[in-house]
Amino acid sequence: MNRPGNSLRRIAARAVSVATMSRVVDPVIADWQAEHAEAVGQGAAWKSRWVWYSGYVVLLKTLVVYGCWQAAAMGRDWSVEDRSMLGRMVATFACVTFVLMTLTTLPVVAISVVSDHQVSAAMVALLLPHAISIAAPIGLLLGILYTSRRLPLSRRVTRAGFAVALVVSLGSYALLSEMVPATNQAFRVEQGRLWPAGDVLSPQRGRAELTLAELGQRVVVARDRGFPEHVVKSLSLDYHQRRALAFAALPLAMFALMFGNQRRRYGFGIPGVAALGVTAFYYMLMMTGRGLVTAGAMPALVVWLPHVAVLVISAVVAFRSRRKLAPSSNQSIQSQTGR
Amino acid sequence: MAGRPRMLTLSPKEQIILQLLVRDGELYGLQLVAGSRHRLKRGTAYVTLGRMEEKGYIASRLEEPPAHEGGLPRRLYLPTALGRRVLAAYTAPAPYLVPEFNR
Repeated sequence: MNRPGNSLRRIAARAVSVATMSRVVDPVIADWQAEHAEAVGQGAAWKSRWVWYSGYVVLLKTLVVYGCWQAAAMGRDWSVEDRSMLGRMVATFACVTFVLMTLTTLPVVAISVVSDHQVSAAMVALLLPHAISIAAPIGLLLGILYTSRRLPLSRRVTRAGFAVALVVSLGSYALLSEMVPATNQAFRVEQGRLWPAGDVLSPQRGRAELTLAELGQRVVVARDRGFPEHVVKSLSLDYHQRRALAFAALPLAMFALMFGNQRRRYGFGIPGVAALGVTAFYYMLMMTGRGLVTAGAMPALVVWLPHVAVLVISAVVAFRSRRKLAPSSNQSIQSQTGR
Repeated sequence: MAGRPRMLTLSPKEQIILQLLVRDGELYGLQLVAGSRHRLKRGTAYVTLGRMEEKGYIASRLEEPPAHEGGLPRRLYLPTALGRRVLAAYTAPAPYLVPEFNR
């Protein structure tokens, strides 16, 4: 008999400690398997199916609750300064993300003002998943830079900032791979319902309306059927670019964390200028990818070029600030001898 | 240097678990959820049990591996002496403070 939870257990074993596995994850799965075996033994097909699927929800919820509890326990050991710094970082991140999301949806709202085209609340709401995936990395970048304006970030806050970037990246990946294609298509359908026939986009799904898995399949099919090379490369670039864009938060946050750990403090304008510069640099490099691919470069490598470039800049910033912090040998001898 | 003295706290969910374990003896997590009459949720019960074990309020042991192949051994929970004392300390004044407690 097939037991539920075995594959999830293998995945969880890589992510959590042995103690957590034995105290939290294994008891959930063991009870789940026993309940399922009992339902199968009774010949209750629907019940066994219900137990099978609801068990996934229970396990997922248990892991989320456990993660929150661990985070709260960790937070209790933090100093007041660290907590306040992390709170400011998250609040700025949330505010900037909200403002950028609103700005991203404004062009669609503006259409209803300047033309006769009706724009429903649903159309604006359907733009939000895509807007979040663009706004969140920039929001986090500004959140970290503005938090570290007056004081350098402590090691704990730096780690927490990196953890937030990781969560943002994974969330963006889920959005861009599954949710954004679905909402793009729903937007087209809603547009078709409200707008005159001539102004509506084709209801047929384009590349932006395909999930990441479907787009990957298209690349394989195009390659197998001998489509022209430029078509295969263009499809492949779209596929890899969507994956790479989901992880934009990581290099941008890394830059902000390294910039924030410099010894020199800065005024109100510097974080904005630094954020604008690094974001423009990142997206411009991403856009030049198409030209590089046309020139013969591999799409799978080209799309990660902006990440590597921003990480190199971050490393240079970190190296420079560390060199400034380390006293020269003469200075350290003088300070030791009191001269 | 001695650390900060530990305060023995008992949350409402921990109290329900201890009451069930003191009343019924060894129980599985699933039995605790079923016995709590919807006061414990499956998604949070196991985390609470893990936390209570860390606090020393309950102990657990693994059952013999099940007869069916491939299944994981289930974990049985039972209250410790500390758990019983903490429960008694928390519930003893309750009838005086909350008249509805005994209803």
